[in-house]
Amino acid sequence: MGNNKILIVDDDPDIREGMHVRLKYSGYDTCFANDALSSIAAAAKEAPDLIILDLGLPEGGGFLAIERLKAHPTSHGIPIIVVSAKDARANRERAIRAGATAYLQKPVDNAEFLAVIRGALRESAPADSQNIAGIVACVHE
Amino acid sequence: MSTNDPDNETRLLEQLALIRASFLRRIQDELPLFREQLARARAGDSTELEQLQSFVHRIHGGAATFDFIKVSESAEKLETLLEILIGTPLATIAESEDMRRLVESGQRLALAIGAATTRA
Repeated sequence: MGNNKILIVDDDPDIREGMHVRLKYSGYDTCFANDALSSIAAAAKEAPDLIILDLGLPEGGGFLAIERLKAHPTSHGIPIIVVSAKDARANRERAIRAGATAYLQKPVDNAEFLAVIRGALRESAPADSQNIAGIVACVHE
Repeated sequence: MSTNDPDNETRLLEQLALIRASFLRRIQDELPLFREQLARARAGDSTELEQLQSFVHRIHGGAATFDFIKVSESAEKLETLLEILIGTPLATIAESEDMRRLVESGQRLALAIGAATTRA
């Protein structure tokens, strides 16, 4: 089985690169978009397993990107984790309502970052693979 | 590849340190443009406010990510002020208290970036 692929959507090249390096060292493949509109095209082209998205994006902003990704037939089932410097108290609920799976406020602790990614990928895995994982866990017990 | 391997962990930290330095160098390079945009906004060019907001938001998130705490805090204050000012007719704010605070906050952000660069 190949590595999970994660689409990183952020307008800052160093943040994209920093996330790419962290994710690569944890065994994930990555692809990139730098604004709200190109995130839709990137999700359709790359078919990622998960999307990490900033809110302060050019070309429409992060909320619009979440709504469009969730409305698009090829990306509606992909979990979206918002990673933003914007105040979580003011923005988390709106992001979740728009369709995000989780909201992390920058700076993000690396262990928490990876745990949230693993959790979101587990929840979005097809039912068959979840059952297989359950059977394997039972066998090991 | 796993972060449990000490060699990998060291390589990861080295790479992140390089990216952190690149971020700081880039925002330092962008400071002259930031100062020009701030001056034009103060002179009454409302189109500059959104340019400033885009720049300041990137700095806010990047500085938080790369642990430049003072820079991130200064950028956050400026971003909040810009959110208030954007959408308000500039004629009513050009000489206002909010504009004075915007300029002061902008100067503080520039100083914080300069100080981070000196320490690095």
